[in-house]
Amino acid sequence: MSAPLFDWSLIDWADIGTATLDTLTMLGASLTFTVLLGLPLGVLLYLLGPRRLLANQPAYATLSFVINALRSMPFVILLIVLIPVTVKLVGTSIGVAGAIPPLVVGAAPFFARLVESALREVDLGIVEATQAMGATTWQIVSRALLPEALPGLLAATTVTAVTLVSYTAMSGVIGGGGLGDLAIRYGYQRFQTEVMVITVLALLAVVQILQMAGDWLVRRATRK
Amino acid sequence: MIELHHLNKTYQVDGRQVTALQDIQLQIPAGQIFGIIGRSGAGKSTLLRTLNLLERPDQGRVLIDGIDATALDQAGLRTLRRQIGMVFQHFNLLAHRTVAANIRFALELAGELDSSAMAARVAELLALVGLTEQAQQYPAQLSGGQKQRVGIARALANQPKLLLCDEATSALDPQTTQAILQLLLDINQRLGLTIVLITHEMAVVRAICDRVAVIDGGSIVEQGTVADVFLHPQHAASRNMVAEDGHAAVLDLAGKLHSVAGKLLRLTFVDAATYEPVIAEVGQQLASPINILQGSVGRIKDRPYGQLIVGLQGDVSAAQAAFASRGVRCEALAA
Ligand SMILES: Nc1ncnc2c1ncn2[C@@H]1O[C@H](COP(=O)(O)OP(=O)(O)OP(=O)(O)O)[C@@H](O)[C@H]1O
Ligand SMILES: [Mg+2]
Repeated sequence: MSAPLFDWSLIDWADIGTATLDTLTMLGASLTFTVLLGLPLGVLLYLLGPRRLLANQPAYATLSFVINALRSMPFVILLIVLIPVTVKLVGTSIGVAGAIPPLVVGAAPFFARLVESALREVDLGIVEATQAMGATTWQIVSRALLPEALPGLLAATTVTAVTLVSYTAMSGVIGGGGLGDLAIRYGYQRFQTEVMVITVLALLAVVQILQMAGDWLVRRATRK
Repeated sequence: MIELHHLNKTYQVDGRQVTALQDIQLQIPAGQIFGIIGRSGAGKSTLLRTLNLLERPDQGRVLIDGIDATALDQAGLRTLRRQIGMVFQHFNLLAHRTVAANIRFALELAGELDSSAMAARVAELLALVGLTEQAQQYPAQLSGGQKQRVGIARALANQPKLLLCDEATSALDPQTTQAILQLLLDINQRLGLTIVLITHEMAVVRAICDRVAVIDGGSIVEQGTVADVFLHPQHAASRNMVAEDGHAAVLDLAGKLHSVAGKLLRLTFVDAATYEPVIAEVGQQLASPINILQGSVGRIKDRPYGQLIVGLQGDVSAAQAAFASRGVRCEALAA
């Protein structure tokens, strides 16, 4: 009788549990900061755009360039480049805390672009009607644009969350903790294929749940 | 009372200059329904949007009740805009808000009423436009006509003295168009507010406007009472528009009618004259038959009119005198 393909008895389930929790913590914290940072950035990008409320070609071009530059940087590189900044911000460059700043810097520009395009989906007629009612720019953004774009913004948040899950996995490379870290340390470096399989399944489950929750929220918010 | 003084507006499109408005001079009396008619691209929307400064003219002044809107700062402009309602061709309702909440939106932005006062005002407006039943529905669940009723209610929410309508009925079918026009007329009469509407349809102007200006290539080429412009258009652009409408006998038929013996006259009756048997009387008086070749009768807003092209065998100047004494305008057409 040949040896079984996988020997599940080798797996430390407590480790898997901790790693999953770490991944979720990184995801939750980085998604929160990504939205807090990326949403205003996306709104600004939208407002400065051609024919928009605060249209300003040089400012738009500059902001756009910075965002593109950050987005074109491979995440793994960003992780390493940002180590000094991360240490300044959270006191360490490893573990769950050390992973959060690079995750946010990696995801916020991406999210800002998604916010910009979600806002562009809002009919300009609505902006015009709100303006004609005597609204301030702030009222137009907060009372008309953002609520009208809510389904698009929720979809953008979902896509960003899923992207962040794969980023958290990559941050294992610099000892970021979480499922990715586990996969690299045990699955790759110690040839424990079983751990690899479980972490992949756990990541898959997290992504599935995020996507389903996101889709459900988008459906609920859609009034069209 | 709105006065537009020497308004000019040019757009830069791909480095080219596009003149949207050229030396616009217009006075819009308070309490009237004022139509601005023109073809697509004539500059109607641009002109309307200068009234609440959604579009800032390059030159010229916009006086609203004596206040120069072009000189206002941002805060002043917002206050002014709250006193001006605007209705759009594509309604521009907020999809995420119910009918009631869409109307309340205008009140929320103004921020002058507390929530119970807002609810009362919304209920009043819903009743005014006949949408009480639909209060809790979303725009996507409404027909075009219902959406426009919401748009009108929203525009009226802050009790404006002026209502601007940008092709308010152009996305609606003929029946719904009539219903919305009646609503606008009703609002104008009941609330006494001034309505400026732009349209490319003569029928809209005929139905509810008191005065009309014709805009062509960014300039006002003609203006006057609807009866004057509709029955006696002077400018080629107006004549074309009236001719396409097909409800006035303004086509120059002389060429087509050359086989008809005698002189061609165009008779225009308005108001009281339309109720009298004028043709028969004049025919008897001149002892010569009058041959009706083409014509139309109808109403311009609430004024009955008739316009006929007739053939006459006898003396034209005698006929003209006879018609004139009965309050009928009579023009000899070149035969
Ligand atoms: N934002 C803009 N940028 C550049 N050109 C513009 C802009 N708005 C209007 N124009 C141009 O100005 C002219 C007048 O446009 P406007 O929208 O006022 O016409 P309109 O009479 O309302 O036409 P329609 O019946 O098609 O709505 C057109 O030639 C148009 O292309
Ligand atoms: Mg237009």
